[in-house]
Amino acid sequence: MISRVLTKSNRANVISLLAVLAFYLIFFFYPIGNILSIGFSLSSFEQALTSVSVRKALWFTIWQATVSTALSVAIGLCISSVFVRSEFRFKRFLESLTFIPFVMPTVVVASAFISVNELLTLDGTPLSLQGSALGIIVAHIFFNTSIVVRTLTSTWPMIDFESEQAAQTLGASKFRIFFQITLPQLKSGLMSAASLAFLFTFTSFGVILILGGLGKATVETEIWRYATQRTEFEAAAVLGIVQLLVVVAMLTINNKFLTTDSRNTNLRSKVQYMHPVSKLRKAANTAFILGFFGLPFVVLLERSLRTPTGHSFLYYKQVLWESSDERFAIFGTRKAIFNSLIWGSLAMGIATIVGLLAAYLLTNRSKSISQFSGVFLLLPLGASGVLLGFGILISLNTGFFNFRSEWWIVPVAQGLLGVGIVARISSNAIKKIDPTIRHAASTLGASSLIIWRKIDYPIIAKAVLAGSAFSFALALGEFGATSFLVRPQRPTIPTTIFSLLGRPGSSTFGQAMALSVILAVITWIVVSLLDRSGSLSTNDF
Amino acid sequence: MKFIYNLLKITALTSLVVFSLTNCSNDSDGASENQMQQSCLDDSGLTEFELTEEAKDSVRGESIDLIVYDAFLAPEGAFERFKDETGITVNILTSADTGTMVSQAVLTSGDPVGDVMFGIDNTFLCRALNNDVFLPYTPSTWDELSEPLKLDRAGRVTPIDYGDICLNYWEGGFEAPPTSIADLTDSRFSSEFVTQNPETSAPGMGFLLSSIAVFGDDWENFWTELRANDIAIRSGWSEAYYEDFYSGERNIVTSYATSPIAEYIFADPPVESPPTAIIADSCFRSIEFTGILRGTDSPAASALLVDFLTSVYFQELIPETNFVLPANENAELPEVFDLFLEEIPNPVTISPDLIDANRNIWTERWTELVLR
Amino acid sequence: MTFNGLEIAELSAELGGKRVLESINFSLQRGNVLAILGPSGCGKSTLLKVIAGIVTPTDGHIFWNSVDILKTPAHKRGIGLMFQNNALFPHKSVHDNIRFGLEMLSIPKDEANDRTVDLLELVGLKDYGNRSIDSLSGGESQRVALARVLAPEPKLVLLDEPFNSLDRSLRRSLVDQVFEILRAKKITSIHVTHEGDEASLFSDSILIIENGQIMNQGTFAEVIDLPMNVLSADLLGLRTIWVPDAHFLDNNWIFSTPWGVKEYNGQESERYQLLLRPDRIQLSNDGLEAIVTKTFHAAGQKYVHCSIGDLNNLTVLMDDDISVGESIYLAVDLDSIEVLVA
Repeated sequence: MISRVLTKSNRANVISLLAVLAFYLIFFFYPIGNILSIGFSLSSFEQALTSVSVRKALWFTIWQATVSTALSVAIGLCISSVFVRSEFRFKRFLESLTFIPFVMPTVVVASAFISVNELLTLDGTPLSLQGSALGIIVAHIFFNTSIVVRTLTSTWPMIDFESEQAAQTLGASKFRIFFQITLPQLKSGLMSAASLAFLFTFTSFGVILILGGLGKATVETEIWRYATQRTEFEAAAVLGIVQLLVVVAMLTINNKFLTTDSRNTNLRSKVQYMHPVSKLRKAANTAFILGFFGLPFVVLLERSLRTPTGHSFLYYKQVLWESSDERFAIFGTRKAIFNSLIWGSLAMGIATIVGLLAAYLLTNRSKSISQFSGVFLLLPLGASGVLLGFGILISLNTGFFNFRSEWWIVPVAQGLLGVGIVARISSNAIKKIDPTIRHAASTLGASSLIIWRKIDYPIIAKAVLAGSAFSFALALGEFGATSFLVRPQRPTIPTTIFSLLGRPGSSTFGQAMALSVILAVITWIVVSLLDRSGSLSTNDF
Repeated sequence: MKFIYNLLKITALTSLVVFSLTNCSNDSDGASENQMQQSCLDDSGLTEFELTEEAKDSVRGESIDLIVYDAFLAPEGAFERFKDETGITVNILTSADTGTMVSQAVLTSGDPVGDVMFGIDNTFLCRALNNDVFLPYTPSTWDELSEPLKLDRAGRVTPIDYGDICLNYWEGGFEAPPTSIADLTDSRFSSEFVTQNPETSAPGMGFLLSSIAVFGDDWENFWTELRANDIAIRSGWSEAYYEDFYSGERNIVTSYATSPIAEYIFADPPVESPPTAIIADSCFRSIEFTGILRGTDSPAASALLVDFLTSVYFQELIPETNFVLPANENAELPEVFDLFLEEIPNPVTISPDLIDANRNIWTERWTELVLR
Repeated sequence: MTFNGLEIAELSAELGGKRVLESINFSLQRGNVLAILGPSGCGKSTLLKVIAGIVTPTDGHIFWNSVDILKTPAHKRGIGLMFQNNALFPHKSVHDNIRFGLEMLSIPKDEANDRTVDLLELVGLKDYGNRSIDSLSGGESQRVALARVLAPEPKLVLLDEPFNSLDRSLRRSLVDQVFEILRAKKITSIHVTHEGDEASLFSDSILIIENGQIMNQGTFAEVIDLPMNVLSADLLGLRTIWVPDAHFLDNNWIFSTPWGVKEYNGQESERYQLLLRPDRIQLSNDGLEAIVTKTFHAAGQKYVHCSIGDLNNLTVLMDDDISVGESIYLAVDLDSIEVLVA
């Protein structure tokens, strides 16, 4: 549909396609191809596939990712259904609460979980969150539910609610309406979210390592072990290939399920016609969110306030107002905050721009292009962070492409991870635009550029912002490959937390906790700002 | 559009094929243990770099990159002073943990990302040396450095600091505190000990190596008994130290000989003496090295940096920023170290060759014994 | 004594805090058609949704065959609803849309399929079963919606202006078809519409609503005979309605018309308008002069607009040919001028 409007500027179309491809080729395909090729020999494949531990790791990785994803989707659905169908004052706050885990450094979240474990005295019981698959899955749900909630709260209101009412008059109970009418219409949004969640849980690293209690190995942790601790690159590369193959398979299958949902012609405000959600459900929902997402955060907060002489804001003062000759101020925390914001914004900008261009690839008329794009755009999220980082080191090292130690390679690598997300979320929104609106505009004298600016863009802007917020959070939390690059020493919040935690002393620990809280708050503020028009705003259209 | 799609497919396939062909001959890893016959510490056959007076002048205005691991902290103002003295700007490039840093160096051997590496330790030493990661160079401060630390006979790496990995416990936490690691299997200390996974943590590795050195072939029994005595294992130092040790869940933790001093320095409100103590028996000696990376464009500037890092000035700054002891014998320790540092009479050492050859085997065995 | 059909008693409803229905009362005999007319936003749609059970009323009762169905959940009421935007299930085929209601009744698959095919034929969409919803035209969609509503054989069908988006001739033929089917199957129905003529053709009784309140009700003949208020007259397409000069004197309203002064005794309101139907105007040489301002046709009949006194658009039936600017002479009996509450 979009291409038809753009045929006037076909050149722009081709240019954007080439730009996205070039970006991916240089920063992803080339490095990852390079490093994976180390494992390209029959003997290493044979070795890997016959190894019992590798097969165990692969199996564990797949099933925990599947379970985590399924549960995240289920819980996300429950939460979203309350958000979408009712209005209450703290809705926005609660939704943003589900998003905080995403940005927290794993080491901090894991430590909060361990404390929660103690708090609820689960240690030693079958429900223990530590050293168990349960703990890993719970942590994954903790991280990934927000992906589902975000996607749903922007796509759910676009369903024709009268089709649900029609079903009601045709004799369908609430249960049947949900499963036969609502859910099928949410399919593509859910599939999008589920595939993202699967990618994150499949390549999950920190959570497995710290919470999994060492008895649990996944493909990613094995890659890490082989590549960084044992310096056995061949074995690591083989595992990386296996990992990538599974991811490609998953994405390809997932693509088949992404149907073009019908466009929403029923654009009236939903407020008046919503099926009221019972007070009990609203209360249960709120309690769950506060408990599940809030508890670890509260634990963190408490620890940041706990000083040897009682609770106070001491560590916050030290972190935010230290001057360099103070005893505990060896870390430029203010600078770290500043750097994190700058780098995060940069990565977000890259992800948004490239992501928007890429979104048009996903909505292209040609099925083969859109399906192919659907797979390759998200690949960086499914590739091993270790191997991508290493790959960049051995690839981007000569001549014009000597990027590996440039300061900007970090935001670029982070941006790369965000592109797929922005593209996915934006393209879902683009597909929902009713073409007759565009036709109307053109009969009123609007050129295709103006149509894009004044019609397409405002409508998808919300989705684009949602995707950007994601990338910002990813970048702030320094996810994935960037941990394995060699970067110019510029302190950021996560690295500073990490440094603080690496030193003994009650004050360094307290400061680390305070910084973690600050990180969460900053993310929350930025994300809320980006979402100002809000995926939960009910005066859409 | 279809054309472009096909073009992409072909490109992707071709590049994959090309890379695999060009890399088929690449054997970059150190997994093959067939260098057993020769010690990695012997002469490598690489030509040593000579720093000339003219070179010292010509490198003014150059800038070089120093690769460090993530926990490294640059002493305040140190590199500014270096720049004042030599006109060379130092950029610090941070990697991840030591293992990753070494792996990265091995992977990029001959075409390094930086010019000098700081912080490779003795447990990873052979891995790097076997892959010719460094360029031999004898710094001007060579004679000032402590002899036992000079592990590399061919001068490819220079010792820069050392620290001992010892067990720490809370002062006053026990009536009769443990005095050796053998005590840990005693029922008195049941459920008191927390240590780290040797594969993911340097102190964890240090303790494992100590146990192997102390018990020899019986080390597996030791660990089985430890496990029976209810020990906790964490993946990293900070979890073990802050989660278990701090909370009082466990009162003995694997940490560093300098940890009590850090506790003293960072205590708020201030304390009179360190709240923790160490078990001086069976501490593992961990030595850190620095070296010029082979393939650097600026060997002369790098050499000057190595000189600087081992100079008395820099060496005196190290203890308070990184809590390790200087390799330069002329460097004076900060007062607080003089006051509270406990002497380690016989630190455990194991040859880097042996570590390199058996590291993977030992950690696999340990995982089976302790985790599964 | 049970009443066969729908009875609505004191029904009130709120939406978003606003009162949209206020004490609605009416009854509808089984098998009959009720038309509901009213301006937009007056609550007609809400009334249908309350009856269907989709919206919960704040007060009142709904009886079907004298049984209170208020507590019955919507999906068990057996009341069908046709929407303005037809609300077809976009992810299902035409066949599956129609079959949905039968599935809900757990009707065996074969029988359900047969009935679906029959319904498709009934609405003139014989081979459309496999088509997707977004490939249908406006008229086709509404016919699928009709078939879908009929499939589970509801006792009552509510039509919420479902023909609005169709062109005139399509609308006319579809409305014909729909009511023919409904009557044949003896299904009671309520039709919300804004087309007065349509209502006259197909309804037995009529309800006029404004701001959530009933302004007029009765059989079509009753209401059209005695519209009582401007709203009703307007909705039914009656003309000519105008605001006269009026003043109140001695408990009487005095209206001035070109044909004299009309007295009116009622005091239901403070504002009134007058209605003069074209068929109450005689052309007579003794009448008052009026100047023709426009000639036009409606439903095949010739009319003119003329201006007389302060009336600018008086509609008059005209048999002869007449041109604009010509004078005609009109005689009107003051009693045939009706007073409407405004």
